[in-house]
Amino acid sequence: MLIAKKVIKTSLNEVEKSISWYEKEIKNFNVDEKIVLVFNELLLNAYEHGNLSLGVKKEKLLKNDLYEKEVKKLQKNCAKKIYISIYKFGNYLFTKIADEGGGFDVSGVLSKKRNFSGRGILISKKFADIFYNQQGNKVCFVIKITRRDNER
Amino acid sequence: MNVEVVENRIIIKGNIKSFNDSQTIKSVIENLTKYEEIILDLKDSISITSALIGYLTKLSNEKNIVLRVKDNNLYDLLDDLGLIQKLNVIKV
Repeated sequence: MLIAKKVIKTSLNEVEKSISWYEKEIKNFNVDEKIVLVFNELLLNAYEHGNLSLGVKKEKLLKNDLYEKEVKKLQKNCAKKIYISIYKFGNYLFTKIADEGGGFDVSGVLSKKRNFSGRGILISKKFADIFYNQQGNKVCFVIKITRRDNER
Repeated sequence: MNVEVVENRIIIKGNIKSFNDSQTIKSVIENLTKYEEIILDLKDSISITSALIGYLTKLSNEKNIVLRVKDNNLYDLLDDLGLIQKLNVIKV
């Protein structure tokens, strides 16, 4: 069952606003609050590595304190969108995030543990089951809805 | 998320979950230039963003960072990322 969906522009501001939107949409489900962190990490990945194709440049930009300046410049010329949808199937909440970027080497990133890039995915994997499509431009993460005490 | 600063100690209440939260903490740290050691006290945060981890990792090359965490999962996460020593993570 579809709970909610949203299409956002490739913008840091829209990414930030989407977090409040997401919190509001899932507030009636008894899920681990870390799901919001997972959502933030994977949405940020779709934004910076998906639609803006930052890739390994991100590390260099952060090192030189140019990250914000560069992404804001890149997003001005980016017409790509990010598609978010939330579903409930049984006792599980599924969140899908799709970007319009070229994707990435999913298996490569998932197998790296301590490199700079892929840290957001590692954090996400710690708190939810995450699944990428082969191209690496769609991700779905799943979290169990636990019963509230008053439902027992 | 709420941030309180006492000398070189930054007390963070609530969850660090968004890019803006990371930027807020980064700005606070940037105002503490006179201190060689920065202590981040994560009172009740159960999470930390990759953006903040990236920033702290970079900063640890210039300053001594101490990260005091309460949540077991958060400690485990930092351990998984190999950051216990680099960020002087202490479980409190």
